[in-house]
Formats: sequence, structure tokens, C-alpha cells
Amino acid sequence: CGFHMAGSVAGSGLDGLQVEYEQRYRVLPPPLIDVLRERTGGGDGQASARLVIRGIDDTRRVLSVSPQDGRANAFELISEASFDLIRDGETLLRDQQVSTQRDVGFDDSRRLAADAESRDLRAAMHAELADLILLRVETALAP
Amino acid sequence: QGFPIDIEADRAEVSQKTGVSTYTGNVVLTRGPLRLSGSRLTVSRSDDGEIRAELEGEPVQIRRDPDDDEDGAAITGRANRLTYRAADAVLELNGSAVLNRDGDAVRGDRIRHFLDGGRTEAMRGDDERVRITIQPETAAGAGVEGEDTSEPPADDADGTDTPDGG
Amino acid sequence: GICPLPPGIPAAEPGANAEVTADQAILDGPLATVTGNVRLEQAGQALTAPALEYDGTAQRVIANDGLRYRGRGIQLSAEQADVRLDSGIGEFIGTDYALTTNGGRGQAASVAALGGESYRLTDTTYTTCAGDEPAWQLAADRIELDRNRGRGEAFDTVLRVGGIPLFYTPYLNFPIDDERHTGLLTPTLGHSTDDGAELALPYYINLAPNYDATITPRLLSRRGLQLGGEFRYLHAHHRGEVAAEYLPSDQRFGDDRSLLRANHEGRFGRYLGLQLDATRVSDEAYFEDLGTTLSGTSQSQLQRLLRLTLAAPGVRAAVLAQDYQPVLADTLNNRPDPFERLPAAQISLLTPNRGPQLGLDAELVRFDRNDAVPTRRTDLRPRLLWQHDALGWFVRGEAAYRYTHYQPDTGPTLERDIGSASLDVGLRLRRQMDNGWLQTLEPRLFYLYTGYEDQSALPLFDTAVADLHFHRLFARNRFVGVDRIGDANQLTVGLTTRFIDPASGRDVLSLGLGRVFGFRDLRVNAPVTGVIGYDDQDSDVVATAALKPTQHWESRLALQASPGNDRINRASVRVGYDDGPARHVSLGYRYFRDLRQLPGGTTETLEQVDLRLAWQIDEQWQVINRWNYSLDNRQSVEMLAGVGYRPSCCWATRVAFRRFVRDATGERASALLFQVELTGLGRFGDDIWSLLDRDIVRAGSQFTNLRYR
Repeated sequence: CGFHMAGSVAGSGLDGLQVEYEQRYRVLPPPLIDVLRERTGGGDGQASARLVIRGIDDTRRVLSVSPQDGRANAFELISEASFDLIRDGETLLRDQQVSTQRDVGFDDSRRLAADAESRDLRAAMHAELADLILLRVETALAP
Repeated sequence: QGFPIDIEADRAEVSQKTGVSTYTGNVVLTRGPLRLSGSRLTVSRSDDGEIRAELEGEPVQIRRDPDDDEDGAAITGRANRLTYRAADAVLELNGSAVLNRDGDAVRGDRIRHFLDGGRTEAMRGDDERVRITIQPETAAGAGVEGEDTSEPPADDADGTDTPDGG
Repeated sequence: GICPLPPGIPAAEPGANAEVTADQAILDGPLATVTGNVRLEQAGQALTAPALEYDGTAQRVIANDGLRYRGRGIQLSAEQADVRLDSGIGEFIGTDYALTTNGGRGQAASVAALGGESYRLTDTTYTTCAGDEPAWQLAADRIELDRNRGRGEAFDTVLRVGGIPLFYTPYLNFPIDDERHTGLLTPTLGHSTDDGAELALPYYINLAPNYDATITPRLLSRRGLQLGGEFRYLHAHHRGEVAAEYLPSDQRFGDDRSLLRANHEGRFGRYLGLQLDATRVSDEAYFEDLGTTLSGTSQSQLQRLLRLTLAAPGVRAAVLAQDYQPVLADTLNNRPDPFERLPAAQISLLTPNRGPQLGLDAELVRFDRNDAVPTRRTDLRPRLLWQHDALGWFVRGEAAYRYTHYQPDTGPTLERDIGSASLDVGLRLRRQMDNGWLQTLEPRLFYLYTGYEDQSALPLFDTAVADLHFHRLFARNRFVGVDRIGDANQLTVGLTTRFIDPASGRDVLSLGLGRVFGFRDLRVNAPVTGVIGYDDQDSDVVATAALKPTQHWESRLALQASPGNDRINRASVRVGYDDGPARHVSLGYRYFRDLRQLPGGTTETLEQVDLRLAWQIDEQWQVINRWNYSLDNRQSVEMLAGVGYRPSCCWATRVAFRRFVRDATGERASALLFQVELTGLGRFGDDIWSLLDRDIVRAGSQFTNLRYR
């Protein structure tokens, strides 16, 4: 039915893609960078293209407030990333934006668990951002 | 003002009857520090002995070197026509007139310059207005001795940029 | 933008020489007397006049029968002027002036140019409105404009609005550009039933390019004088801010009120990072009484976290101390406070080789809380991991053993050890459709086996049931946290497909469907009421859909339904149009069955509709609206409706009505908010717009997952 496996088209160039992200204030890489490096074989050696992550923005908005006590009981987590794709010095994609959102319930009587759930959810959102980024890179690098 | 007037030219015609003499071809009139050059000069003497020189050129070039008694400032200039009244030392420049005096450049349709005292009057013509470029004080001093440094911009009507005193 | 300036003369080219054009000129020594619509240009300044005198040596211009000037940030027409063009020092008499930087303009008996780009205006008016009848205008004996400090100071000033004198003030300070200058920022003047009249005068101090501070005295007529201060620093690898607020003897509260807040993040070289995120208030009702933002007033606990992290190839470790201060101004409910983690040490190791990898996740935490026995929990999880990602397909096999040990200060130790194995296989298929679009199809299977052990005796420190998002179907533990490891013998089947528009690369339509099929009844459950997303064996079905037909339109659906007892447990729908902050509208519906346990044992189900609207209707009118309506309580929870009216380029007003849940008793309160902005002078009244914007908060970096995947 016309489907073929990703990367099987010659020269999709995804593996060996060099993932660059400048971290001035933190040592732990955000999950998005881990997933991108995992999916592109760590980008070692003869990288033909450079994927430069310009910015990662994790924000949170109060989605709803409990009628009972006015405390926030649902948050909207938003993660956005912007990136450039450069191959042999030429910028194929410039300042591309990807974003994802999740609504998550919040029970402040289980604050430690709620924080752990948010960390886990952020990791999943970053994995989705990685999928969206690599899809755009795939379409841009396709011959 | 007692300097003699000396005139050189390729040809000269003197008419005793009218007292008017005409000089043509590389005409240069010098009188002490003043030096005027052009292509055609007519000198006439009025009945009260007043000497009057009418110079034409493409353009007429004017230069007055600084003299030691300091009252007459050094100038250079040019114009399509020039009238020099020796007695009261006045230069009348007409037509695309330009006068450079201690760093400042004055341009206009008609310029009258009093050699003694350095007073200059400029008037506009039908289309060309009076334009003055004044250098800030510090640079002005240097402008006097050397060549005329502040040659006006090239968009000047006649465009010839020949250093005077050729 | 600023109001259109009155017509001025064309600006001058920069250049040291003075260029004069005129009908007639008389030069006598350094003095030039020039007449006949004169134009003079020098050093970026232009001046036109019927006649003027110019002294070349002093570069001084004297014009006595009218002139117009433009340069050094100001344009004006005057009856007389005596100005030195080189230093810009001089005086214009009888002027009509306008500042080309911020559009401030008016008439002044005299404008003294003080050199640089500073001016002293005497007996002057000042407004940023265009036209002869300005909506507002300052009349002052003297106004000092200092372009280097970017500030204007008015002395003995009367503010007239619509021609009516509104108030007199001996001194007024206002910005004349928007750079970071030391000086007073826009004052806020407001009124509320609780605090009475409120006047805040923030003073900004630009200490250095990477240091600044803001001191904010805030007068609350019914409480007292509060002093706030904030210090920010930004270095190559360290940044942060420290803030404090102090309100001595709050008349309505009867005691001192204070807030301390510090956050910092930084790294020492390649591997070591430090992070601090701490907020402390003097009493639980602090934010309710003195909070200014929605995200502030809806917090229930304030975190204090200090964390040192290490990240090197194959090694990630952290040592941290964390506790919380509850800010619930109610004494009646016995809502449990979060446990403190004083200290906690985490380490995650994974051999960075290709092929089979060895990993270890270990955590040692000492939990404490005033009403509980402090307990040290040690959790070790060695694992063997084999993962291979070949773009078109991937496989992840893992076998892990987990040992957890609880050591309370007094009382018996508890232990738990469980083995688990999982296999995760996925395909990434692509198809070029005949209309040129790209379709992706990604089936995924995830088998998980986890042993069973009765954990009902184990304490609950950081564990709960998580919302069943799509990715949770592929989690190795259906609980979040360490205190419960869900037994499992299950297979998760998941499928996602996306339709990509080749032109923009945008995923126009994305669909996801998944479910966990259990081969055995589930025996471990957390003693928490409410939806856990699983029935006896299988999980709820989770479906997600996202449609982005254009760059601005987006609609999202997430559904979690239990086929077993045929009901929906979670549903969340959002349709929105977003084209920037001034053109945004979105409608959302959320249904969370048994979201959380309320004091008194009942569980709260959340079913709410929310509308968010910020729309610039035309040049003048803007509408903002935010509205949360709770369907099960059949009442609006949070409502903010406002209108912004900007009739001219120099003033705007905003009126908003807000109805919100005031405190933990669920009591409602409403407030009418009013704000006037005189562009270029200041904003007065409640800061309505930031109430909306500032509810988007940057998530702290403690949200970075330490463990390797």
C-alpha cells in the first residue's frame, strides 16, 4: 500500500546528523536533546548536516481553578523549540518552530508525585518535539 | 595700494582714442599679491583717472596671496566674468561665482569682495542660490597657506578643477 | 508607536562643516549675515530662518525674527534663538517643540539646550497627543529632559485631562525613551476593597550591563507601606535573581508580612551544575492578600529546592534538598503537606556503548514531615538494556531488578524486591500520497512483565496514579514515583499516524490510538480513590487527535475511555485561532473524572469549559476575555471580561470585570479593574493586561529528568 520504512530512501542523511545545542547555565541536557542524539546515532564522525536547536521553551499556564478552594487543579504544559538545519554551509531550514501542549490534572495534596508526573510528561513532550523536528528534517533532506 | 598693474597676454590692442585696451589669449593681470587670469581682458580709464578691468574666462581665476600687513585676507576664486576697480580695490564676480576665503567657500550668482578689510557680499541669481560652506574653526587656519583645500564638491557648474595659478 | 509629529524641517546630514544656503549673504571677518529663506546645516542639525547671523569661529547662530530647528532629538520653531551648533548649548525663545524620540511636544516660553541632548523647558506644556486639543497635557514651570538618562522631570506641574485640571504635583518623573535607564519606572496607581488606595513607584537601577536592581515602595492605604526589592545578575555561566518584600505591621493583618525569593542556575565547567529555587513567605495568606498575579494566587505550596547536578558521559547524578511551605489560608482542612526531601541523592549510570548496555538507577532519600516518622528510602535498579534504532524501526529490550529499602528512624525496616522485563518494538513507515503530502504510520508494541509483591504496607512518599496520557501506555510502571511498582503481564498496542504538508513541513493532522491488554488481573493499587485508568486487566483506550489546517488554526482532542464499564474517564478538547497576542481566541472543554480528593473525603470531578479571547477589533477597540465555567457546579469559576479603548495614539483606557474564587473556602469575589495609560507618561490603575499575560510561567529547571531513558 505504498508505505516504506523511514530512512530507507537513499541518503536521507538522518543518521550522522550533528545535533548542536548551547547550554550556558545547565549541565543536564533537556530530554529533547537526548532523544535527538539517540535517534541520530549521536552525530559522531562525518556529519553531513547540522541540526542547531536555537531555543527550548518549557512553560506552564493555569488552565483551571478549583471552584472549591480557588487552587489550580489543572495546568496546560507547553513546550516549544526552534531550530535551524544547515548542510554544507547552506541553511535549508531557518528558525523553524515546533510546539506541543498537554493538559494535566494537579493534585496539590500529592505534590511530589505531581512534580514527578510533570517531569515524566515533559520528557514525553520533548520526545514528540524530537519526532516533529526529525520529520521536518527528513522532508527537507529528502532528495 | 601703490602696486603697479602688470598684464601679460598673447595679443593686445590699445586704442589711444577711447583709452580702452583689450588683451586676449592667456591673459594674466597681477598687482602685488593679487593675480587674475582669464581668456579676455578690457582695461579702461574713466575721465577721473579711475582704472577699471573687465575680465572674461572659462572661468576667470582669482588668487590673492597673504600679504604681510594682514588686513587683506588671502583668497582664491573664479567666475564667468570679473570686474576689478583698482581705486577702491573691489572685485565684482559674476556668473557661477566662487570665492574661497580662510577655509570658507562662498558660491553665488554675483559676489562682491572688498580686497581691503575682506568684506564679501554674495547675491543669488534666478536659479542658483547663495551657498556658503564654513569649516569648523580648527581646520580653517590650515586652509590659508596650502593649496585651496576646500575645493567645492564636483557638482559645481563648470566642473573644471584646475588648480589656479597654473 | 508615537503620535505623528507636527511637520518639521527636513533633517540634516551629519558632517562637521556648516552648509548655508540663502538668497543673500554678507561675510565680514568670521561673522556672516545671511538673509532670504536661509537653511543652515551642521553636525546633524538643521535650521531655517528668514535671516540669521552666523559666527564661524564660535559656530554660533543668532536668529531674531523666527526660525525652525531640528536636531539632537528635538524639533522646534521659535521666535528667537542663540545657539552654539558645536556644543549644542544655547537658547530658543518662544517655542513650539516636539521630541523626535518619544513624541512628547508642546509650547515652551524658552528651551535651553544644555549640550549633549538635554534640554530645560521653562513655562511649558508637555503631551504626547497630536493636534490642538490634546486629550491630556502637563503644564509645568520647568521640565528637564535628559536623553542620556532617558528621563524627563517636571516641576510644579498641573495635569489637565480633556482640558480639565486633574491634579497638581510639585514633581513628576517620566520616561522619554525605552532603554534600561536608572530611574523611576511607570508608577501604578490603583484601588481595591482589601488594600484601599495603592501607589507603587518602582525605581530601576542599572548597576552594570549584567546587574540591575528594582526597588519598589508600595503604599497600600489600608495596610501600610511595603518595600519590595529585586536584584538580578547575568554572567556567562551563572544567572539568577534575589527578591524580597517587607510590609511592617500590616494594619489589616496585625503583623509584619514578608516574602523572600531566590532562584539561581549555573554551571561550573563542563560537568557540574548548581540550581536554587526558593520562595518563603511570612504567612499562609500572603499571596491572597498581596499577590498580584493569577499564577501567584493559585499556588498551594511554595517550593524550596537546592540541587547540585553532575552530567558526564554515562553518568548523571544529583544531590538535593527540597521542602515546601503550604500557602493555604484555611485552617479548617487537614490537607497533607508534601514530604520534605532532606537530603536526596540520585545517580543514573548507563554504559555509553552500542549494543547491550548496563545501567543502574539509584536513589537515596530521607523523607520527613512534621506529622510523620522520618524515613530513609534506598532504591536500587540495576538493568540490562539492549536498544537499536535504525530510523525505519527500533527495538528496546530491558531486564531489570529493583530493590527498595525503607529505614524509618523508629520502627521496622521494610523491603521490596521485584524483577521486570520489557520489549519495545516499533516501525516508522512513510508514504508519499498522490497529492504530494507525506503520511507517516508508526505502529508500536510494548510487552511488559513485572513481578508482584504486596506493597500495601509500604508508605506513600512520592507516588500516585498519573493521568493516562498516550505515552503512559508505554511506561514501565503505571504509577508515578517509587513507592508502588505495578505488577504487569501486559501488551500495549499503539498506533500513530501524521499527515505532513510538504510545503510548510507542518503536521496538519495527527492521530493516535492505544491500549494496554493485560493477561492477568492487576493486584497492586495505590490506596487512592479515583480513576487509575485500568480496570481488572486492561487499560482505558487512549485516543488523541490534532488538526492544524492552517498556521493559525489548531484543534486538539484527547480522550480516555474505559470500554469495560463503558464510560469516559478523561476528555479534553481545544479549538483555537492564534495569530499573536492581540488576535487569539480559543475554546476548551475538559472532563477529568475524580481528579483529586478533597478534604472531607469527597473526590472532585472537574468538568469545565473555558474561553480565552484577546482580539484587536480595530485601531481603537480591543476585547479581552477569560472565562472558566464549571459544568458540574453550574457556576463560573474565573471570569475576566475587559475592553481596551485606544481613541488616540497618546492615551488608552482599559476596563475589566473580574470574578474569581477568593480563598480556600470557595468564596467568590469580584473586582472592577480600571486602568488609564497616558502614553509616554505612565499607567495608572490596575495592571489588567499583565493579569492575563503573566499567568504563563516559565517552568523551573527541576523539570529536567535525571534518569536515562
